[in-house]
Formats: sequence, C-alpha cells, structure tokens
Amino acid sequence: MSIIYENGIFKVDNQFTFDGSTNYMTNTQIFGVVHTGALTFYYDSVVPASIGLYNAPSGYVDKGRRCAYILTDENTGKQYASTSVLVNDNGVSVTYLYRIHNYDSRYEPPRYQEVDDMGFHFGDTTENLFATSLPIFESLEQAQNYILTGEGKEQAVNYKESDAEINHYYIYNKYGDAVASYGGLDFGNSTIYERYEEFDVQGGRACLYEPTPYEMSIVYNGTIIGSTFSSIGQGVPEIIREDELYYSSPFYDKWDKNLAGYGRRYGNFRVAQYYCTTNMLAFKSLEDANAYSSGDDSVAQNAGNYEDVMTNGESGYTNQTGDSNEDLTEFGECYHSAIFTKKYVMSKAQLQNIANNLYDNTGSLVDDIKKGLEMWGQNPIEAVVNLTYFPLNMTEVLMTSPQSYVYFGGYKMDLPSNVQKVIYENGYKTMGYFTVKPSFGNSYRDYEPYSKLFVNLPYVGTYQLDLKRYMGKTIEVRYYIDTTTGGCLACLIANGRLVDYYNGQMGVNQPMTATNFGEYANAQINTLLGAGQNILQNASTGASIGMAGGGVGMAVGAGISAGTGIIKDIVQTEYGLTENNINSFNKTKGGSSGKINEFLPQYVYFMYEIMDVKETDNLLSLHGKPSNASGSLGSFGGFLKCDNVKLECGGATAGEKSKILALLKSGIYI
Amino acid sequence: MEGTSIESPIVQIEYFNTINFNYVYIPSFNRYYFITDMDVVEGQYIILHLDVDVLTSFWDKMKNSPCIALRSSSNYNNQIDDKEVVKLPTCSYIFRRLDTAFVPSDGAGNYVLTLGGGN
Repeated sequence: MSIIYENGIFKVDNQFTFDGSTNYMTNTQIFGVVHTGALTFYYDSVVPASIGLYNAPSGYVDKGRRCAYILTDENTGKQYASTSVLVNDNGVSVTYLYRIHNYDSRYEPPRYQEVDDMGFHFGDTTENLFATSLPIFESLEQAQNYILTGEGKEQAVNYKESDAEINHYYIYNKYGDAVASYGGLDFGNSTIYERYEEFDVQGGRACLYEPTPYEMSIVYNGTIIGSTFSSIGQGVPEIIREDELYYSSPFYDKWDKNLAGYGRRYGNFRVAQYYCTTNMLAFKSLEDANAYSSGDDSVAQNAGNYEDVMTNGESGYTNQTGDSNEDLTEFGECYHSAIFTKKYVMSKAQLQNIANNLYDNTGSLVDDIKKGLEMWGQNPIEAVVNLTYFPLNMTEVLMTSPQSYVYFGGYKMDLPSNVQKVIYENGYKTMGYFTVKPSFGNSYRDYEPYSKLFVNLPYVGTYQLDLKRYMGKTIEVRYYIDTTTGGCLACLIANGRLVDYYNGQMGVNQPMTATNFGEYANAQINTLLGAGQNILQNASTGASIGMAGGGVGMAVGAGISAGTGIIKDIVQTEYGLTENNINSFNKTKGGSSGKINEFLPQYVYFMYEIMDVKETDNLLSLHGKPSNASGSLGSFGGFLKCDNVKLECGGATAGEKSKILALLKSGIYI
Repeated sequence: MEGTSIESPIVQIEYFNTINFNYVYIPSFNRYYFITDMDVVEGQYIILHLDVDVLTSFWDKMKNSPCIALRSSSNYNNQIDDKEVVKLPTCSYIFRRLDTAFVPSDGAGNYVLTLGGGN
C-alpha cells in the first residue's frame, strides 16, 4: 500500500492492513472516493462488497496519529467533528470514518455519544455531548499536516498544555463509594479534550432500567439519572465490563460469542459481543425500577438478573477460590450400551403377545416340538434378564428404534407389531418447572426457619430443600432412569444448575413365570419316545428318532416329520399327562420393589411451609425493625435503637452523656 | 437550692393556683427538665424536683453523631431476622404441582424387557 498526498487529499492505492489484521477492509468498497466531509481517501482498488458509510468498519489502532477536524452543517450551522485517521509505519489507515460508537476500549475512552448521522457534536455544553482525546483542528489542512508531520497540535481547538488533567467522579450508593479518576488520556500525541456528565448521588439506592436490549439507564430514587454508558465511564462498581485480555481496570469487556445473553448488555453499543455484568438489579419496567430505587423491595424479583444479583450478592465478599458465575449447566450423557443383552420397550399388549407365544402349547405336538427345536434346547426364560414396568412412556426417555422381532438368546421370535429396541439410555424426563418466589418481598420471613420448602418426588420421596438456594430461581425437576435396576435419579436444577438430586426406585420388576418350552418340548419328545418305541416297532416306519430323547437340540431327524401322523394320534393321552409336569419347568424372577410407590402421588409438587407469626400493627412505629444501617442520629426518624454511637455532644456533662448513650441503646423516638 | 445539680436541680418557684405544667426549661442552664416531684412549702411557693431531658436539651448538638442502628422505624432491613416478631406454633401451606405426572395405571406405562442374546 502506498499513500499519495497531493492537493490536500490522501490517496490510498490499495487496500491496506492495520493493526495486524490483514486485509481488514478487503471486502469493503467503502467509498471509492470517500468523503465524509473530512479527510478524503482514494482507493484505486475496486472491491466487490458495498457496505457503505454507516457500516464503516471499525478497527484498532495502537500507534501513530489521529485527529479530527471541524466541519459545519450548512443548514443548521452546527459544527461536527469529522473523522479520525491514523498514520503509522505502514501508512494511512482509516479508523472511524464516520461513527465512533464502535470504539475499542483499549485505546479509546468510553465516552463517545452518538448523535446523528452527521457525526458528533462537540463543544456543545447543553446537549449531545461527546468527548474525545483526539486533537480537533479547525481546518482540513491543519489536520492533514498534523497527521503527516506530527506537528502543529497546539493549533487544535482543544489543545491544552497539560495532558494530565485529573477528573474525579463519585457515585455513592448502598454498595459503597465508587471512585474513578482519569488522568487525562494518553493517546499518542493527542491532546486532551474531555467533557463529562457528573453524578453526585448521595445515599439511597440505584438500579438499572433496560428500555431496549441495547440500552440501560440508571434509576436512582425513582428518577433516571443517566445511562450506564456514562456510569461505566464514571466507575460504578456494580457494572462490570469484562475483558480480561485487554483492560486492566475494573471496566473491561468480555467478548464471548458463545454466551448469548451473558451478563447484561449496556450502553448503546451495537456490537453484540460486548457485554457487561452487573450486581445492580436491571428492570425491564421503568415502573419497577422506580419502585425499587425508591425502596420497594417487593419488585426486586421482577428484575431480569434477580437471581444473579442474589447469588453474587450483597455480601460484598471477595473470594479468589472460585467463580460465582462458573458454568455448571452441562450434564453428562450416556451413550454406551450392553453388548450381551438387549432391551426392548413394549406395551402391555406386546408383552402379552410374547408371553402367549412362549406359553403357547395349543398348537399341534409337532408345532411344539418345532418351536422347541428352534430354541435349540435352550430355556428361553433363561434369556430374560429382567422385566420391569415403568410408569411412563419410556420412548420419551430412551433412544429407541422399532423392531419387529426379539431374540430370546438364540431364539428369534417374530412379533405381530413392532417393539422399541433400546439403542441408548441417554435421556431424561422433565416433569415441569417451578419458580420460587418470595411471599414477603424477599424478607427474612421468606427464608428458613420462617419458611420452608419441600418437594415431593414420586418414587423418590419427600425432601426439605435449602430454600435460599432456590429463591428466585426456576427449578426444573428432571428424572433420569436406570432401566437395568429400575432406579431413578430425581434432579432439581435451578436456573440450569444442578442443586440437589435424590435416588429412588421407579421400575417395578415383574414377577415372571414362564414355561421352559425347550424342556417342555424335550419332555414331549421323551414321552413320545417312551410311548412311541412300541409304536415305531409296530409301525415299522424305519425312521429313526435318533438322539432326540437326549435333547431337542440334538433331535434332528427326518423321522419326526415322517411319523407325524402316527405320533399325533397316539400321544394325545401322554400329552395330557405331561402337562401335569409343567410346574417343574417353571421359574420365577423378579420382585415387587418400587411397586408400593405407585400408591403415592404421581406428580411432583412443592410445598411451602410458612410459619405463622404475630406482628403487631404498630411494631414498626413503636419498636422499629432490624436495621444495621449506619448514619447520623439525625438521619433516622421515628423509633431508633442504636448499637453503637460515637456521641458528639458538646456541653453535656459526663453524666448526661452516659444518660444519652443509655437512652440511645434502649431506644428513643425522634 | 442547696444540694441541687444541673442534671437534677431542685428549684423553688412561686405558687400558682393551678399547676398545669410538667416540663421546665431553664434558660440559664440551657436545658429542658422533667418534673419528677413537687413539694408545697409555706407561703406561695412550691419546690420542683427536676430531671434533665437530655435528648431534647442536646439534640441539636448530638444529631450529627454517627451511629449504627440496631432497630429503626425509618431505615430498616427486611432481610434481617426480627426477633421481636412473635412466632406462632402454626404454619400455613402453599402447594404447587408440576404439570407432568407419572401414570402407573395399566397400559399407560411401558415394560422394559431385557433379554440376553443377539439383535
């Protein structure tokens, strides 16, 4: 890139690079010929995208010189600061051609205020103030000369001999005093031109009002006194801009694209990635903000960041061992499954069908034997590891896929309708949400021991919760279910964070009796062999049952089918006899744990227990309420009982002073 | 009078037909006093036993004294436990039921059958 300066204008013959961000403006055909009424640049290169003036890119500059110059609106006569440019070792870069709202806090003071599309007012003491550390020249020529040579800054209208003018700002509030001082601004060779709005807030309380997602105002004692925009500049400790990387002062930005909604946005910056956190309550409703700032605690819970504030607290603690905003909202997942077993979710009708199939001996003897052969002499019931009933639609909880058959060991049983084969047991059941709100304006009566919070968790139990952990938060009740054991885990998740969890037993293992059809079939065959030997001898079929009597699994012989007609007729009687022995093949698995829970309430419910108290109507006027407030004696009214007094009472005798102290500690009416 | 003090002076004043006051200001002491007792003596005199009202007398001087309030009618904190409030042995209850319930009734739930074997 090269810079051409001729006839009072700059020309840039190529796209440029600045601040290590290469080709930053590659896709910006900003201006062709840029003329914002300020310094003029020419770009010989033509780039496709057209962004336009209002989207002029922002950039970071860390060296060189910048300045602005004055232009006058011909229509209104108002004067505006124009633009700022940089000359560094690489040449000329454009920083903010038009607007400065997208400033970089590393290098700019946070005290620009956008006014209109024409640029920025300056020097106007009544409205639309902005301040800049840039030298402002009355003419373009002066500005250009300064940029190129670094000389002539004393010609700036805002030039001051001292560039270390100290400005102190004070905000008083219940959180303590906040003091911010700026020793002027040291930006390269710039001079100082600063103007501030000042707050002098004595006592009382302040909160935030958020008229739009991009703006916040400070409300103090029922009145909007300014925007966070300026309050940040003045150092309100409750408004914290976070950016550990760049800014060492309490005011720093956090750039975290992945945390939408992190903290509270502030000011009128239009860069979504900038957020701040605050300990001040931030209200959407101006009415609430006014009420709260005027002392009404009952609306505190309406603040959008109520729980954060309650969590981060008014304790004023400084704890280096952790972070109250630590992200604990991620839960684990379960994507492993058993290899040697398979689980199927099915309805009662589907299970009934399987049971009927297993027990079915209504077919012909040959059908039974065929089934036994398919089972290869196994006892299918042995393949059943577990059968558990759960009182919910398990397909909502488990990852399943439909399947038209099941395997009992090696025995495949086709089903008339699909069951759901469990793929992964990764899921949970959310029973609902519940926001814990104070009943007494967030007073001590909203907390233990005056109020208690219980939760009834079906299949788990009833538990008392630590109320302070939940106050102001929305609780999600989530059940994780273990289909292997029938156990469940009820999780109480407050604002996304797991706070408590309890174990329970939900699944009801089903007592299960089934016929070992393999053995049953063997018995049939043995019976058949016993009765059939004679028959076979007589029938002279020549067919060989072979080793069938030793086990169905080995009884493979064409003779069975060959002798079907004869066998069926002859064995009917024996068949009936063998039925009497079925019980010897029966086996029972499972128990009834968890079933008793079915008699209890099946929904989650919370129960507040609020201790009844007797508070006399005139308690406040006659005896006050706990205060722990500090102040002068004269700042209190009505009843006052002091804990400590530094008595200043000239002219009183020692006896009188001691009498006064005694009265103050026992309570007086003012 | 003899034996008196500025904090608890005893003064003798002329008797009035009706005594319709119970509070005294003594300009020379620059103090206000409660009347704690009265003695009628011979003649038209009455002896007043006084006790200084320190709060009224010195309020203007002491009102700027810094303090920490234990209790106050004007500046209180509702989050601090008020031991003066009498606890009753009874409690009130509020219930909140969540939307979703389990359904153990036959047919509403599901069976999970775990089988050994292949796919």
